[in-house]
Order: sequence, then structure tokens, then C-alpha cells
Amino acid sequence: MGLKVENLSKSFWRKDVGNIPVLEDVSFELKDGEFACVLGPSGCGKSTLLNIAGGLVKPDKGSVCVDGSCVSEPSPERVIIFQEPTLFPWMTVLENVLFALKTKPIKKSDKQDIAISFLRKVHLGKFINAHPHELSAGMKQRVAIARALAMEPKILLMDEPLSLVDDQTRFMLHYEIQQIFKETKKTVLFVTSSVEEAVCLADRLFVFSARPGKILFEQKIGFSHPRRETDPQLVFLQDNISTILEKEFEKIAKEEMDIEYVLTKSGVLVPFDRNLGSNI
Amino acid sequence: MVLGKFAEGFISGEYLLSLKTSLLRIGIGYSLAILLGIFLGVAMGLVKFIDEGVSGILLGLQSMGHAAWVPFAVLFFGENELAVIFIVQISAMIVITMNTESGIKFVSPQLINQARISGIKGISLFREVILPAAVPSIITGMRLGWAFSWRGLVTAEILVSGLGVGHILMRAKEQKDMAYVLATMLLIASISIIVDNLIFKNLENGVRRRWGITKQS
Repeated sequence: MGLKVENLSKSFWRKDVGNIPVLEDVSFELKDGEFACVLGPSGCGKSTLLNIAGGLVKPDKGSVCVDGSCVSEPSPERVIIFQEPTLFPWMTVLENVLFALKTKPIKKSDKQDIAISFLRKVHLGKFINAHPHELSAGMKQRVAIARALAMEPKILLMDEPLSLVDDQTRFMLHYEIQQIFKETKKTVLFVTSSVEEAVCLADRLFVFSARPGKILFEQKIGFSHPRRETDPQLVFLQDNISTILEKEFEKIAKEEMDIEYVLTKSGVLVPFDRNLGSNI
Repeated sequence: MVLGKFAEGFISGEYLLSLKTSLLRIGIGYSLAILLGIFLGVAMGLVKFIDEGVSGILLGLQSMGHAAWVPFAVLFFGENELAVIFIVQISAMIVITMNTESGIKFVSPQLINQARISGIKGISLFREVILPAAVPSIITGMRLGWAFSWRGLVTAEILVSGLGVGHILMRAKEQKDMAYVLATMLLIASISIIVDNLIFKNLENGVRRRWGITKQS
């Protein structure tokens, strides 16, 4: 069963530039328990894809279905972890997690136990009575992850959840995420713009093109979890993918900068002593 | 001399008597202002056409001084308590409404999405997410409203009715008693500040504690 994305298209309309297609005919399927990453340059519609899957945005064409039933509104079955932690500032850490469990038909005391156990899993057992303001960015994001896991969704949608976290915390969280998902075996769709992160986490990796977002190619990554970013095999893979992505970035740069880009490319704006021989 | 008059006002019982009337008026007027103001502000924050219809009018009304309401109030209610209470009410209400409205409107859509993902919607969404998120702004409105209601009260008491602290000011002016005027102004200011400190500072600190924002020392 799992997640099925079919012929998804979406465009946004803006007064000054007109119709902007962001997603074009995206289709793929995830089996239960698969960890998939969507990788692409910024502005390629990755987040839009996730928001559609989460039910926050309506697609123009196509559909997203989970276990055969199609998505039309947000539901605790498909939890999104956003780029920012979005905790409720007037609630404590524990209350934030409990609030997410509010509509679950479980006993109150059980909810408390579930919440605490997941907060322990992200190493925040000592901070359950703290307020979000008292936590660091990385800790807040960990609360958000614990909250999402506690909701026991069928599918977890993660929208660049670690992009605002410092490097140290990020590497630690990469490791923790892999541990947690090894245990819980959740289906995950993880959006990121970092090749390193994608290669480190994903079982399957979808590389997206620049606007409008389309799947350029899919890469299966079979190494066992937990992996380390610095593993030579992963670095090799990163390099390959980066080369392809670079071309995509170039496409965006061309679109944004127009004539300026041509000048830069032909070396007018780049001093010669900065050229380390990459064009030879 | 001013302090002497200040003490005299209390000893003669004139201050206490007029404070009793004034506080009753401001109590009723301000409570009404809070109720109506928050209700209207919430309605404006949530429903677009109410907002579009009312916000222009409100701003127009706000630019009117408190004294400008006196003729209307007197003709409508007569020269009585109701007119005074109405002026107090309208002076405080507009600023409370506007702050409530902006508080509701500026609740982060992210938070609302987060709640929707957790399966929370409708009244529950409003009561547990939108309203608490708007509370700091509503409290600011109430605080401003409190100051504004005093302005309205004093204006109304000077121009309309024969009792209350504003009326003492008026009489002191007629007797050309500058010390008494200043003493009474001192009285009005200190009551307003005392209440602000007792109630609103505490409310604000309460919210800050609830949001986990502690003062850095």
C-alpha cells in the first residue's frame, strides 16, 4: 500500500509574473516503511509537493493517495514536520505533544505516557516542563519530531526539518533520525536541498529538476542504516548527484540573472585569478 | 500646597464620594468596552466582510476626540449616567477592538496549519489556538483602553454630569483654586496608574510567564 502520487501538477498565479508552474506531472509510489528523500534546487516545488501530500494545498491535477484513500484535507494520519518547529509558545513541551494527541481516542494517562516516551526518544526527557522560548532551535525541532512521531501517523512528511539547525545538531539528528526510523519503520517523505543529508538518510532518492519541478531520476541507496555523512561511498554518490544538480542550479541562475549570467559565465565579472582551472 | 489640598480632599470625604461615583461609571463602561470590543475585534479578525465594513468606520470614530461624543450622548441618552457610561465605553472600545482584531489576524498561519494537522478544527481551533495566540495583543488593547476610558470619563464628567472627579476639577476651576485642580489631576493619574500596576502589569507578566519569556537580568 503506502503512498501513491499520481500525475501531480500545480501552478501558482502571481499578479506580477503570471502563472508559475511549480510541479509538473510528478508520479511515484512508496511502499510501507520506505524512507524517501526529495532533493532539488530551491523553488522546485518540493515543499509544495509535501503540502499537497499533507492536505494543506490542493493540486491542480493529479492526486496523492495513502493506503488507497485520496488526500483532501489535513489529518493526523499524515503529519508534516515543517522547516520551523511551529510549537505553541504558550504551552510547555509536554503540553505541545499532548495537544497533538488531543483528537486521538486514547485514555488521558496513556497519552501522557506516550508523549513522555517519545520526548525521551529525542533526549528531551528533562525538558518536558520547559517552554519553547527556553529551548534552542535544535531542541525545538526535536520536540516537533517527537510530537510528529507520537501522533503515530501512517506517513511522515518532513519539509527541510533540519535546515535551520546548526551543523553539530544536524549531524546528531541525522543519526538519531536513522535510529528512530529503524525502530519505528515509518513511511517517510523527506524534502531537502542538501545532497549530503539526502544521501545519508534516504533509501530512495528522487532528484527534482528546477522549476517546474519534475523527477529527473530516481536513485536507490542500499547501504544499511545508520550511516555517517563522511562514509567514502556516500561521498562518492554525493559527488555524482551534485554534478547533475549543478546543471539544474545553473538553469535557475540563468533564469534569474538573465544577461548578467552570461557575462559572469564568460568570465567578465569573475576575476581570472579566481579561476582554479575548472573550465579547462 | 497641592499635597495639602490632596489630603484635604480625602479628609472632607469629597474625593471618596466622587471616586465612588466615578469608579462605578468607569467600571460599567470599561467592562462593556472589553466585552463589546473583544467580541467585535474577534468578528473582524475572523470574518472578512465584517472587517471590511467596520474597520474604516472605526478608524474614523477613533479620530474623533472624546469630547466630540458628548453632544451625541446627551441628545441620545439625556444628561444622565447612561450618557457618561456611553462615552467611557466608546472611548475604550475602539482601541480594544483594533488590538484584538490585529492580534487575531496576525496569528501565524503555520500554527493554524499545525493544529489542523493534529485534527483540530472549528471552535476548538479558535478557542485553543487562535485566541491564546492573540492574548498578548488583546491585553495591550485592554491596557490602552483603560487609559482611554479615564480620558473619556473625565471629559464626560466635566461636560455632562454633576458628580465625579471630573466635576471636582470643574468646580475647582470655577473657584480659581489651582492647587485643588492639580491635586485632583494627581488623584486621577494615580488611580489610573495604581490600577494599571495592580491588574494589567500582573496580567502581562502572567502571559509572559505562561509563554516562558522570563526577564533577562
